[in-house]
Amino acid sequence: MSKLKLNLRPALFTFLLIAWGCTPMKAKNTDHSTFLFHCERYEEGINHFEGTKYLSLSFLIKTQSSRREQIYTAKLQKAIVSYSHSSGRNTSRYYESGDWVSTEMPGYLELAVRFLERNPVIFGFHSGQFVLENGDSLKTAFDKEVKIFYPGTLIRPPGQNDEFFSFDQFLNIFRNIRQDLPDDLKMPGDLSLRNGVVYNYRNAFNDLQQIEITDSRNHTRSIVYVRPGSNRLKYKKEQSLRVQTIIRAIETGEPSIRVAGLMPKERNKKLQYIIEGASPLVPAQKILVHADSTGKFSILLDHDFPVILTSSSGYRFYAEPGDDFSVTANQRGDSLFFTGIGAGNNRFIQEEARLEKFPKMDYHSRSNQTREAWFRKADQSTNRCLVLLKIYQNDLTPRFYESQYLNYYFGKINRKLDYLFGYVELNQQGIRKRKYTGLDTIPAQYQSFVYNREFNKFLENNFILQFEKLRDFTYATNFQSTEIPTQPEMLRLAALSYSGKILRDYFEFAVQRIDRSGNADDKTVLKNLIQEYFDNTPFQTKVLQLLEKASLLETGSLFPDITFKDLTASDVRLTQFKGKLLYLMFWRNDALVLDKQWDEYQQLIKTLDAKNVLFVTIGMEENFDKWKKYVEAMPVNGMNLFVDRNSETFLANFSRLKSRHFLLVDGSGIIVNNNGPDPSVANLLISQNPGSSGKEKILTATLFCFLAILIILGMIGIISRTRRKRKAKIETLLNRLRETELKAIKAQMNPHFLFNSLNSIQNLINQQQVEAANMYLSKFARLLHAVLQHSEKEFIPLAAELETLNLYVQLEKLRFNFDYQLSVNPSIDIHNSYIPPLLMQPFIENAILHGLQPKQGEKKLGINIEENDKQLVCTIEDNGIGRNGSQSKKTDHHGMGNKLSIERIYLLNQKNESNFKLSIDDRESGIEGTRVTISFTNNLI
Amino acid sequence: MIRAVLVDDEPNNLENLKIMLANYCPDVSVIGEAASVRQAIELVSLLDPELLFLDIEMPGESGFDLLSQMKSIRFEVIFVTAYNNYALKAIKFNALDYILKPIDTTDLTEAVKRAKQRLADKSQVEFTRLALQNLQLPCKSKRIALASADKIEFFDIHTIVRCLGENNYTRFFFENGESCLISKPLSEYEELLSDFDFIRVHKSHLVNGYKISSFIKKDGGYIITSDGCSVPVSRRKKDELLERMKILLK
Repeated sequence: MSKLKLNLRPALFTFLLIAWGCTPMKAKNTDHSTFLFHCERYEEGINHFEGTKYLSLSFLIKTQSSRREQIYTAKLQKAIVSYSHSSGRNTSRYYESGDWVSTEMPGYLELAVRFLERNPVIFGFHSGQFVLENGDSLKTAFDKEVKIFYPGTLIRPPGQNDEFFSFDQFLNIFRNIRQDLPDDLKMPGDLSLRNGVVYNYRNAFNDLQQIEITDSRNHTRSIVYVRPGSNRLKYKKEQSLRVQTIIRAIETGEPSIRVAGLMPKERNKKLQYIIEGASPLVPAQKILVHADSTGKFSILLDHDFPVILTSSSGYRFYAEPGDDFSVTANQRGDSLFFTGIGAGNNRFIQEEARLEKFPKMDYHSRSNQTREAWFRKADQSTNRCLVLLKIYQNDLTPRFYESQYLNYYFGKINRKLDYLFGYVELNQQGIRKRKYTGLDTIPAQYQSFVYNREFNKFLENNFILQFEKLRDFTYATNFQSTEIPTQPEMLRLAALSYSGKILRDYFEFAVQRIDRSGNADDKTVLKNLIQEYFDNTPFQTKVLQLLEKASLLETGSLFPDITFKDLTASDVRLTQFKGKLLYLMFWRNDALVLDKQWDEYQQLIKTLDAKNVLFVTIGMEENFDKWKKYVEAMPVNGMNLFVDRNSETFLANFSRLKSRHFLLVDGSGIIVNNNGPDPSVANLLISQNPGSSGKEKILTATLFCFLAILIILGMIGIISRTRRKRKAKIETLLNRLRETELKAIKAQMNPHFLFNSLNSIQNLINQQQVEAANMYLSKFARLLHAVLQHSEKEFIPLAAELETLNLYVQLEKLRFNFDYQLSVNPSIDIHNSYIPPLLMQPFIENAILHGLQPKQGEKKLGINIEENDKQLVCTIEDNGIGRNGSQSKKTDHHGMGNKLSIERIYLLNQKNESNFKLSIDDRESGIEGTRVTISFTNNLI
Repeated sequence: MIRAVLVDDEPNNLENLKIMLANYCPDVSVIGEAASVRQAIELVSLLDPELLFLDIEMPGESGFDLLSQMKSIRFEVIFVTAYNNYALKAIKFNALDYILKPIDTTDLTEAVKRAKQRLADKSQVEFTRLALQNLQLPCKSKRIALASADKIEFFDIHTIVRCLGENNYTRFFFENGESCLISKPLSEYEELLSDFDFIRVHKSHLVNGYKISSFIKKDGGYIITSDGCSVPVSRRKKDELLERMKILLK
């Protein structure tokens, strides 16, 4: 490749056109089998969004024939082609690989082609008769595809076999990850010690150089090991500088990471950087960096773990402790240049970003072919990344190299899992639903894993948990358990991921699980692991803290001796009630305890108060006075205590409580149930906790409870029977109401109206009244929108109803003209007054079709909305032929729509106990026409 | 001239929009057309347009996917959509601009006019960027964009205590005691906030379910919100409120 590069450099404007099938190495510009031609312009630029390079070629192409059907075609790779035609028409279009550029226009056509791929570009012409014209024009006709190589091609698709893994092979990947690691990265027996910070690289390699560090801040001495003897001289030098920086950082408190930048485009700007800590449980951190008037800035960080810096403008740097590099950007800010310690890692990141991204999975596709193609492509893309990683290996730090390496592998594994499970997203009515379609290919006993939602939530995009999934699979398939990654190994792998997110997730999951199981052994195991793997790191402290928190207030432990406050603000300690069974209810005011629940609680106290049980409510509040006020207003007589929920003691002991949480503490102060039953199942309390009182008392209490429950049940039975009856009645009413509502919608969408409206619009088109056609078409669409939308609702704002009616009337007006007036009393809040959708429409339709249409002369329709004494009054008036007139014309004035509306109003009144009133009258004497009035109390919502 | 790129998977729609722009919006020049998200990304990267007419529902990837894949957004967007409640909700939630298909000429010219104003105003462009970012956030961490008379701002939903409808306006009350007046009816926000456990307790009141401190049965029923205000509960809404509160309590 480099040879080719050299050949091409002197003649930048010269391209090699090689017959398809020639290998690049044969392609010398003296070779007779190649053609030379010059293109007009050649430009290599960088796509400022994607950071990818593009190649731009411009040709002036003149079609030989002036016949209109002349077709020019070219087969392209992914490219953007800008046309500028002699007719003056300019446009740009995007072409995929294999697309054909074609035009049917005669005359000159200037094509500017920008190739978007860095791979060799196939560019050719398909037996077209055309002229390529420039200073040194080439006039020829091709009937072969032609290949152009351009300089700077870095990555060739690897010649590896990109076959799919079988499921077994896939399992093997997990087992073989260690074997797959390059030799110089393969770790000796003790794996654990690669996880810590740089100065914890103990025993990670066989031949380490020992450096002693004295930390003047906390007067400790530690031993640092550096890897010597690498044949990578540059790396060695860099690494020793890195270590020096760390030593200096520890001794003097100077920052351990330095990034200096010069970005002219960002001058005088405040750049926001987000630091993603590689150390788990270190939350992402935001820093503001000021770039000066020339765009210079510097970032100093004191971290003992690698970080990723992401700027708000999209730059991304990776830095390890001891790194000291500078980054220079070009004027446009789309190309970065790194020098210094840690530059290599960043150069790789930049280069990797320029590789072709693998396509996003077409989750909508259920076709196996598409999915296989995607999978193959994605895997190829990962392979390309791996090739690039190998090329860059000597420039990268081992930590970075290994984490990248593993990332690529786990990427493959995750994809394979999705692929195996036939994961697709279905697009149904705009809502995405996820589904695993490949289930029939998975044995039935594994399918539950796929459908367990809780389980999957953790699994997605989280490889550690994929391990778990896999372990379950392997157990089920009788794989030897020794083959499965052990927990230490999983931890090690997780710690290697420089993002830290995975480890964080893993620990959250582990802690939650331990929390649930309450198994003390689990906790010890986890604690030991953490101590072993993360000694003396801030991470360790944090994880242990988290774990400690989880262990508090568990069943079997002693209830902490804490001072609470009672209503008189004096101190109360629960230890003073030793010998009594404590039933503690922790609650928060903002969690809304309904009156009913307080009643239940009160009931319980009354029933069992004498039974040596002490009931205490503990308000977890911020403000004592507020709490007091609230407690005094509530119907509970028991002991009420207050604890400040922001206090240290609270946070240390109770922060994991639910907002309504019951605790049972026995006579000796031991928590017998850390998640006690609700008052409604209080009999459990007695049978579970003998406490210190005699058995008789318990028996009495149980009996009492039993009787009480019997009576309550009986009463509930009677009440629920009457309720059921009423409910059934309401159900039938509701069903009928829904039916009439649907019919009302159908009435509005009546086919006669729909097709006649469309016909009127067609008429406008034929009359070439384009603007009017456009206008009515969009009105028509809007009416459909509105009707569809409102059909789901029981009540809609009056404003929406009026808008719908307006659209409807305007479309009717298109069919035959009449005067239309809508008046609404401005004092009515039409946006917050509600009406059943389409209630008025049938009457309006009647007025138009049966009142106005048959009439000669002036036609008027009026809709009037008033509010009187909280009653909304809607009046629909027409000056049509009136009810008598229409009867004599033998049209059914009380059309289907009217009947429906009348039934709907009847049902609404039944169901909502509302007071809709409807009257249909002739207008006052002397005026022809009909008046319909609908009125109801304006309180539907 | 505003340099615009059109994105729609149907060639007829592209052609139609182009003709309408040519006829009604002479200050828009169409510099590119794309028929898929992937094409659009390349095209936008290359042409650096000022305005994007973006169809939402396309096979494979949606218009929203396009935005999530762009590394930086330096253009204004007018969404073009047929009938899709879900997408429209997301757009309205972020106070972004859209037109409906079939295209209404007035809608189109108004939308272009607004886009032009936004392009002229730096702070507005920044807002669009924020809104488009917000669009891609997972539901629960979303913020809502509220456009008052002079500015558009984003608010965390959990800071909203309640909303009061006043004709065509809605007044928002926040945790910190502040309030703001937005010129949209309450019913619109009832719809937008329905996924966030906001409850319409009264024809003029919408309340954040998590900000209800207590329900008082007296005087026909009212609730006390976390900021200490009492909000009336209409007779018809009482049962629904209690039902919803039970679910929230779980």
